[in-house]
Amino acid sequence: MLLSALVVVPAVTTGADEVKPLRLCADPTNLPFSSDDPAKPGLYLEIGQALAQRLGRPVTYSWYKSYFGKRTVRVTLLSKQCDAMIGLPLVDDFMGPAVIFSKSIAREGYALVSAKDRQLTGIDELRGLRVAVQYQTTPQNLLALRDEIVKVTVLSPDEGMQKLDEGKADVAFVWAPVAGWLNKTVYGDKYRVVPTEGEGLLWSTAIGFAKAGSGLRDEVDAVLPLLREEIDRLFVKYGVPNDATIKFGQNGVTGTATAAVPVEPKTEPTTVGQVASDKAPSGGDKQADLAAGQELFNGTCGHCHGPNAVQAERKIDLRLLKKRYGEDMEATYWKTVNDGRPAKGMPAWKEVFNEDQLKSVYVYLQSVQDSGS
Amino acid sequence: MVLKSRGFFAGASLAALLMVGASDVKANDSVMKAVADPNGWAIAGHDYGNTRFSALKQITSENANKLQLVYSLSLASLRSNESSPVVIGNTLYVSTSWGPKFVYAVDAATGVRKWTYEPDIPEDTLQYACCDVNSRGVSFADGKILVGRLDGKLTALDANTGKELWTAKVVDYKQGSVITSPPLIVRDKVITGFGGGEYGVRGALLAFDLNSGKQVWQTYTVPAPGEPGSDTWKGDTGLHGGGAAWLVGSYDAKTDTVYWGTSNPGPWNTAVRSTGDGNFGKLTNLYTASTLAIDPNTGKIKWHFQGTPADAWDYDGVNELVLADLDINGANTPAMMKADRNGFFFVVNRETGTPISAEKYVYTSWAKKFDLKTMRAEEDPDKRPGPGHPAKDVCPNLIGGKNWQPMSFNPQTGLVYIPANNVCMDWSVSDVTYKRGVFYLGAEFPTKEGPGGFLGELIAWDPVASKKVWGIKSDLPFNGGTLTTAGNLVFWGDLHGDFKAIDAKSGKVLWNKNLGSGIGAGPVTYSVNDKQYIAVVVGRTVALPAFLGEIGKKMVAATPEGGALFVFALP
Repeated sequence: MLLSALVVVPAVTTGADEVKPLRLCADPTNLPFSSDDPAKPGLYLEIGQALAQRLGRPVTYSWYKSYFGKRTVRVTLLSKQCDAMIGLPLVDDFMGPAVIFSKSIAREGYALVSAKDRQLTGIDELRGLRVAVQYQTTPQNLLALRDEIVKVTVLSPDEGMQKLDEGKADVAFVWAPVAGWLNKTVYGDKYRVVPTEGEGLLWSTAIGFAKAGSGLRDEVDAVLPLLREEIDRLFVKYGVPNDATIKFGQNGVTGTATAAVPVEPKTEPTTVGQVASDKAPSGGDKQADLAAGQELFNGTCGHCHGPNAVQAERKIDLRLLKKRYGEDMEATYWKTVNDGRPAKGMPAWKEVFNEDQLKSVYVYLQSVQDSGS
Repeated sequence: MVLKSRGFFAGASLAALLMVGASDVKANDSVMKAVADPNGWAIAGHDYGNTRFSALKQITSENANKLQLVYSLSLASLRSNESSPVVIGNTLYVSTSWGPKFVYAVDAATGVRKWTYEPDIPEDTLQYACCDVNSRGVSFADGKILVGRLDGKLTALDANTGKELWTAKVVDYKQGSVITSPPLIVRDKVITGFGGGEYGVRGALLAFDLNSGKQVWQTYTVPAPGEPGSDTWKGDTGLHGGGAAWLVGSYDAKTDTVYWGTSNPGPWNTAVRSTGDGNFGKLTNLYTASTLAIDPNTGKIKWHFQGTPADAWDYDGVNELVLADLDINGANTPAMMKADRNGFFFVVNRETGTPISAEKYVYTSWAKKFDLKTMRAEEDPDKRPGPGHPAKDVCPNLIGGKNWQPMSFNPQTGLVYIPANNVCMDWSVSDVTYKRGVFYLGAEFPTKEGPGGFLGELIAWDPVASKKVWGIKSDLPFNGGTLTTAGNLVFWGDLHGDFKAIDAKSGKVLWNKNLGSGIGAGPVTYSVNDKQYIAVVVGRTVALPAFLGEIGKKMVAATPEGGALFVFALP
């Protein structure tokens, strides 16, 4: 008997390169997002596995705990320990230009968690209640000057849910993905988890790459639309909520929360944020809009953003909006000009200009977008 | 400026003599014996007052230019090496970075190793620790060597054999707390703090029994609702308020008092724990950014003073308290001195807690002056940052006018030798950062140069007249600690790795040797068989520059990482 008949030959065709694994950096102890337990890989790693399958590559992992987010990125992704890191905030200034991003894979933010019979539509309804907030997060900042709301400080969203369950808090205002997952897996779905939105309360999430990985990033972007349903399914599997949001402006403006909507697979990016399409484009003359918008822009916005939007400082260069936000550009525009970004010195304009005026500025901005690659 | 008692105290450390001659209360017999031996270096800071002054004067400003290398010891561990060795008899004990990775006991005259201790430090400590993996030294008492560890534990070793006697858990390192400084030993109690104040921990000091390692007391530095000081915090925020005591303590036997500094409060958003602006009233966040006077028997806080009420700048109050008797307005005054991170040099009566002076020792822009009557700074409201209110050109930078690198006090010159920083910062809220998948808005503080075209300076400071007498400027911040001797000398290493002997009165550099890597540690001196030695640990920080932008890059580019002990003597 020939020995070679018993030997298993690896399936490598002559002349072909071995398929390199897709290396993912992840925190090994961070469910629902990631874990090194193969039975429970976590939301991000399941997305990573689906992605790798589409790319025709096996997956390997590089583990590092993420108590210090930026340091973790530096020590792993930027030190070539892996090819991609799933679940980074899609914000241009987050470690750019060293870190680049895929298109958005989802929106993640903070949620109000409470008993199902508690109807919460805004910050004012928290008056007199005990609200668990995580140390150093936006909810803690948002409620800081509201003395009529009792804050119960916790160090993690898990601890926030625990306080709620122990009756030491009436509401937990914590990171929605963790809240939703715990609600589903630990607390038997007994709580209502309502996402919120507003400055610092909701972000787009994406896959991060080192700048040199732009080739892989483009490959990933190309297959992401094919993974849309799978990603949505995984978010549902992990209990990440998809209800309409409660909107908190910087001035604590209340919005309305509709009843929980049954989740259906979507064909667009999972978004729980403000939908821009209810603002119908003005039926008027586009040219007139452009001229009016430019005049308004130069008279007001240009003082910081530069005349005709010519601006050297990247952070406030509005010619980069399309590049930065892609299909989220319009939603981001409206949110930013309506609510402002006070911490950054950007005022809120919705009480100052009417919708038509702000619309004309948007039309103007669209005409100056940077189209370079 | 001339101390009345100069002649009387010749030949011995000022602080040590005070303590030995004092009342019935003793510190610890074995430690006092070691401290009283002018040939040794019994405590990382030389004595219980952390003066880092030695009476040895074989090496003087006349002959220091002849110093040559006697031996060097490779520490076998890179990244920040910050240890001041302790010398008892003819044995030198030094700890390394990374845990420490090693504690070595060597023959102080030859460098020949007697024993090596290698603790079992978990590999993942760096994933929890905020900053670098440093150890500033070990402590000696009763034939034991005490080591604080990066995994939040305290170990006692047999000083002769290096064998482990006991290990106590002080704090959970997984909450971000590490121990990086040598403990303080008073009688039979080993007292230590820990770091991690930025991450919502509750700061504390703990005492362990020297013989058994059992915990004797624990004193939190920040209050739970209802406890003393809780009315200086909003709601329950004191529980996660920080106030970590991560550097060294000092001790005064006469009043049987331990002094320790505490770190800044958290979170950065002052609206959460205070009013969010300069009108904080009572909401000063005690006892953060403060100096505590503590009873070593019970851990009870006797009194305190706060250097930065309702801190918004990350000005830790941990810098060491140097104890010395100063001639102030003709009166021999028992003082404590602190070169605070916030740019002010505090002089306080260490027996009564009465403040004596608080003057700027570096360029400081966040406050105009410090009002001693109210114990509040007169702040520049423009320089107090917060959400919706970024601040520009705030000086000092959060690394402070002085950081952990120790200063020293020479009773003969009457001067304090301070390794000072001249760096400023802007302050704003960042777009986003994350922790364990949770996104949040962090604070960012881009570093800027201080005025004058230099980033660091060795300042010879008169603590009575409150003025600089001489200074040696440096193009880098974060330079090393100082040693001063009765030979009219100051020894100081900088971040370029240049180790210098300097005339203590005039500031003239007498001798300079480059030792290959940046120096942060405080040098020490001792004598064996009538030969005086100067020893310094070398090896620059890695973690700190990451916070300092372009200036950080310069710090890293100046030298490679290192890890070695160098010992010098006259030929």
